Amino acid sequence: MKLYLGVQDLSWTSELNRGFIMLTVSIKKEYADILTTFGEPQKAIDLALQRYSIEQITAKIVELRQKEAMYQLKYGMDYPTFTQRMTEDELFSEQVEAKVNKMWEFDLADWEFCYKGVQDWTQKLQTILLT
Amino acid sequence: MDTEITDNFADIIALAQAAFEQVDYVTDATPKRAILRLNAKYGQFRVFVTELFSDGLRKYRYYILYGDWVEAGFDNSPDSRAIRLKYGHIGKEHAGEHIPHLHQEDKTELSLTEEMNFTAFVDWVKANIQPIPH
Repeated sequence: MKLYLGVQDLSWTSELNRGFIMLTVSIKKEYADILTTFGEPQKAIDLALQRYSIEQITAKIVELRQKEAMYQLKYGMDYPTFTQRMTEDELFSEQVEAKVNKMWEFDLADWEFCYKGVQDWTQKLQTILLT
Repeated sequence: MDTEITDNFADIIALAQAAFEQVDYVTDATPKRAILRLNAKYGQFRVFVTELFSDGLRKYRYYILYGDWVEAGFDNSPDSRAIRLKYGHIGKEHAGEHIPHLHQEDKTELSLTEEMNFTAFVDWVKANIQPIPH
């Protein structure tokens, strides 16, 4: 069975379809029957997608926080402090390369992704919860 | 993930698979950022690559190692030593500035470079490093 879903997309700019894009997805008849039983399928699917998104985003935030905590432990400071010191303190850079990680540049990129990624996903989560 | 970034990552992976061996990679993305982490073998050398698209910038690291010895490492991280090399001093006005540079001799030598991309890195490796067979 195919359902046409109005999926909210805040980046969509069409005047006619602002906030929605049309996707065609196939779902099992079993689920379609259940959705119909509980009322309007569109509302049920919107709610299901919202719950799924919240679950996925929450798991992602947990994963990124764990990696961020690992980097904090490894370098003994938070991301903003590490970035500042690497940028401004040559002696610190040399000590990190000698004692912690010669290729700290890779950690810095990944750490940035985790640190700022938590903020990105938290903002997205708030957006979803407010809609 | 932005289509342009997705295509860029796909191009890097395809080129790495053509140029190197045992290519392994992961990608990840947030609503505002995307990262590719890739490693591979080039004979007995190890290749490490990261590209991070964040805050409107492409932040890259392209390194080739023999054992733990850094043969060459191209990156544009805001390294204080690269800042000093470029401006002659380290100051708040250059804090966080992304400066393309090259590490050699196990990171004991540093020189400034033009902005690099993965294609240019592969060309550099092929031109400068002979793969030692396994």
